[in-house]
Order: sequence, then structure tokens, then C-alpha cells
Amino acid sequence: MSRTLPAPAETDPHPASQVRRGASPSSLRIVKDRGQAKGSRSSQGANPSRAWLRPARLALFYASLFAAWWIVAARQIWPPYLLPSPVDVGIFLRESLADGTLIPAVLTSAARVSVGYGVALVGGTVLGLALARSRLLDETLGSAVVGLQSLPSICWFPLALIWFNLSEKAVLFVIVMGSLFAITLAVRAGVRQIPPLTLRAARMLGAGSGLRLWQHVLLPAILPAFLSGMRQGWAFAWRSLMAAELLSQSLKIGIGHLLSNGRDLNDMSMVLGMIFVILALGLLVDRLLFFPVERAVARRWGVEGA
Amino acid sequence: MAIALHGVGVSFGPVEAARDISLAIPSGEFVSLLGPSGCGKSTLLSVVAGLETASQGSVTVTGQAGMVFQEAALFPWRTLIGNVAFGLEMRGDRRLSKSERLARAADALRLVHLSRFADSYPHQLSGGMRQRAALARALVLDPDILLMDEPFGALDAQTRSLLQAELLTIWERTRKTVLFVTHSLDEALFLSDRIVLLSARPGRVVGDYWIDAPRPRDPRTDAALAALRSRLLAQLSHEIETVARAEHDTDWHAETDAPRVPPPPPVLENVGADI
Ligand SMILES: Nc1ncnc2c1ncn2[C@@H]1O[C@H](COP(=O)(O)OP(=O)(O)OP(=O)(O)O)[C@@H](O)[C@H]1O
Ligand SMILES: [Mg+2]
Repeated sequence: MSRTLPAPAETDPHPASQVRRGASPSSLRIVKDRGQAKGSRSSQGANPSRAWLRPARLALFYASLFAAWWIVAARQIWPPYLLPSPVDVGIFLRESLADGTLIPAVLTSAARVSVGYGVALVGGTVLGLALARSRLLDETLGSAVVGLQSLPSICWFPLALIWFNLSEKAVLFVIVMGSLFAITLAVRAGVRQIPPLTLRAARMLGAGSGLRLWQHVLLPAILPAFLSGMRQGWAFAWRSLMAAELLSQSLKIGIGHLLSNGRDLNDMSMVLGMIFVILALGLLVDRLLFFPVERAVARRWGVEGA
Repeated sequence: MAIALHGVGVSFGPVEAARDISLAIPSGEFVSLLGPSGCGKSTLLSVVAGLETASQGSVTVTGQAGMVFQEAALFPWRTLIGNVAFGLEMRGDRRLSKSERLARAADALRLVHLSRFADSYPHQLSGGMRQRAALARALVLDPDILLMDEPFGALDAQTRSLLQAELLTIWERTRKTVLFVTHSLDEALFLSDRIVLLSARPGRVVGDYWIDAPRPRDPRTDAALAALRSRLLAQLSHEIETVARAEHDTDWHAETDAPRVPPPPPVLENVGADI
């Protein structure tokens, strides 16, 4: 948070007020500077109110967006099957909760992503550490990881279909491939970023080079990078799951399937409702789970700005 | 002898950092290493610490060594007291319970006047405080030898002279062997029993001076110290000029091109003449 600077008094003892009477170009510049200082002062005066101003602005923005949607839908510029009103979407959500389709689908998807993300987390961590430790591995396998990271995970789906048929395994495979490499690269970068001096200091203090070094120095040192890798990996895992579910109809119903069903039924309320659900779940996990932990660690470690 | 080097040479591939260095440091002595940038001072310290191995010669170090670097290199995930206790934990000293370790760490922090900040994290402290914490972290293990690589190099003048005085007090109380690398001639004169001057790379010992002036030292009132300072300054300038010539690759002359060599005494600030 920015500190409030003491506001200059009106009878300003600052040299600028004397120079202002002069007519040289430099004094003109100073006068201008002074004007800027005044401007910044007034904006700092508004500082205490900023705390609520930002959420208020955000709330206003989304409220207007919502209202605009409502109005446009109500005036039926487009027919309801193209643009349903928020009320229709709300009704769909309430009904899908009531008739027991939504919650089991959410749980099914959550189970899939948990397993896939868990595998990617373990695999990515091990792979990342291996790459950071071995130069040979890094120059060979490492380059492949960097390349594969840029491949959209859904591109693995056809391959998964051939290997595993249309099964849970295929979906799992896509999730793992989607988030594995982001985690790998984050772990590798975390190890690389450890300052050499930190390692020398640790050695001088008797941390050795084995388990104790890992436990007390290396792992804590990479924790901030690891957590941001985890968070990124989660985002990739969630996207990959949704893509895979959209393309895999005959499996147990997850929320991606419900979205796809909405299209099959030409039910726009269902499509929009499921988009909201998917968005909300992804954001919720990020905001309630990963973000607070990442921020707390960044604060403690003193790597501010996260 | 606490530290004995015989014909030590260190090379990194084609780069010869130090050559034929022989140095015997009795225990309890405060020795400063002075020399132009890149002459192998840090390398030599690492060799003594065992972090680097000499390519030639023999190195004998009697007792445990602790090290303080130019940057404090504290662990950002630990509080100050956690940082200081780190070495005690690593030593796996089963005789020490956790509360005993913390008590010792607290003592070390008191020694460097940081008790109030025991529970702060490193990023919450000033550079001078971090450096004092790094000193406490080395001292808590009660090493026989303290290796210090430009420990005050990154600090402002006031903080620096404060820490110099504190270090001197601690040294006078504990009488540890200190090998202290610095770029400041005045810092070396203020602190040490002995100043070892290294040549431009590859570093060789080109001067070895004992200072028996009483502490606290002040060249303004001590003529012998002032004379030594001029002598050292002349020799050091010569070595620095050698480096500058090599780096500038042309006809570089100290007389016309040198960045202000400070005037000789009588006026001597505690810091200044940083080279
Ligand atoms: N690990 C290393 N690998 C390769 N070269 C190195 C290594 N460490 C040091 N050197 C080289 O050895 C020489 C001496 O380095 P060193 O850091 O010991 O100098 P220094 O006297 O401490 O310099 P400064 O006063 O700038 O700190 C330099 O030329 C440096 O580039
Ligand atoms: Mg150095």
C-alpha cells in the first residue's frame, strides 16, 4: 500500500514558490511540476476511499453487464433460443439442481480432475526436479517438454482414443498431458532460480548435499515458484477436462457433457448455465485454494508483487 | 597456525585466478585481504572454506570456519532467529534441544544487537541488519575461523562504520581468527592486525604488513599509520592500474585517466578510499 505523503501547506516554504515569480524557462518548468504535485495530492486525498471504490466499480460493471443482457433479452432483439434471459438461465440452474443432474455431474468432473491433476502434480514435480538436476536430461528431454508445453492438450485426445478407447483413461490422459508440463517447467525454473550464494551459505552451515539440504533449503527455496506452477497446472487441468468431456459423450455424465447436451437439445439456457457453472468452479478453486496460499507464501518469502 | 597456505594456485579452466600463494595465519589474528577486482580474493576465501579446491599447493585449516558473504544470503523463509538457529539444526547436535538452540540463537542475535527483530523476516530488514544477522548466523556455531567476503561492501558509509566498530568489539571479545576481504584500504587499516596485498590476476601476494597501532585507530593522530596508509595506497594503485590497463586495452595512464586517487593523510575518514 502506498504511504500518504504529508500534504504541503498552503504557505509553501518550498523554493518552488519563490521561483514561481521568476520568468526564466526553468521556473516555468518548476511551476508545472508544482501543478503535478497538487494533482497527486488530491488523488492521495481520495486514498482512504479507494478501498471500497474498486470493488464498487467492479460490482457496477458486472451489474451493468447483467442489466444490459437482461434488457436485450427482454426486448427480444434475438429470439430466446439464441439469447435467453437471465431468468431462463436461473430457472435452468435451479431445476438442474432440483432434479439431481447438476451435483452428480459436478462430482464426477471433480473426481476426474482431482485424479488427473494429482498425477500431473506428482509427475511434474519429479520430472521438473530431474531436469533441474541433470544437464543431460535437461538438454534432451527438457527441450521436448518446452515444445510439448505449447501443444493444446485436446490434441492428445485422438491419440488417447486409439490407445485407451473412449474410457476414463482417455480423459485422464488428456488432463495429465494438459497440466504436466506447466508444473514441470515451474519446478525446473524454481530450482534454477535459487541463488548460488544461498547454496554456499547452506553448505557452510552444514546442510550437506543430501536429504537435509532438500528438506531445509531446496524445497523451501522453490516453494513460491512451485505454488505458481501448481496454480497454472490447475487451470490447464480444468480446461483439458472440459475439452475432453465435450468430446466424450458416452462416459459418465460430467459438467462438460451437460454443456454438450445443451447444444444437442438446442437449449441455450442450459448452454449458458453450464458455462457459468464451469467458469465459477474453475475460478472458485483458484481464488479460494491456490491464490491465498500463493500470496501468503510470497509475502512471507518477501517476493512481493505476486 | 589456524590457516596455512603453501604455494596455492587456483584455476578455472583457462582462467588462472590465483598463483603460488603462501600465507600463514596464526590463530586469533585479524587479517585483511586487499587487492584489485578479480584478483582471486573470493576464490581464496572459498578455498579456505572448502567450497572450492586448490589446483596447486596445500591448504591446511585448523578448526571450523564460518563465512559471511557480501550479500547476507539469509534464508527468506525463516525468521531471523530461525536463520541463526539453522546451523545448529543442521549440525544435528542431539545434545541440544530445540529450546537450547533457540536460546543460543537469541544470544547470538543479542551480540549483534538484533534481539528486537528475532521474529522478523529478512525482507523486512535493512541491509545493515541483514548483514549483522548473517554475522550472528556464522557466530552461533562458534567457529574458530571467520571468513568474511566484503561483508560491508554493499552498505552505506554510516552503517558501515557502525558495523566495523561492532565487529571489532566482537572480535576483541572472542579473539577468533578472521580473514577479511575488502576493497577499502581504510576499512582494512581500521580493523586488521595484518594486511595482505594481492596483485592483479593471477593473484599473488605482493605485500604483507603488520599493524601494531593501538585500537581504536585514527590515522589523523597516528603518524606511523598515516605513513603506512600512503605506502599501501601507492602499491594498491599500481596494481589497480595494471588491471585497468589490461581492461582498457590501450595506453591508459594513471596520471591523466585515473579516477581520483584520494589524497594522502592527514585527513582520513573511516571509510573512503574505496577501491
Ligand atoms: N566458478 C568460477 N568459474 C570460472 N571462473 C571463476 C569462477 N570463480 C571465479 N572465477 C574467476 O576467477 C577470477 C577471480 O575471481 P574472484 O571472485 O576470486 O575475484 P575477487 O578478487 O573476489 O574479485 P572482486 O574484488 O571483484 O570480488 C575472476 O577472473 C573470475 O572471473
Ligand atoms: Mg570477490
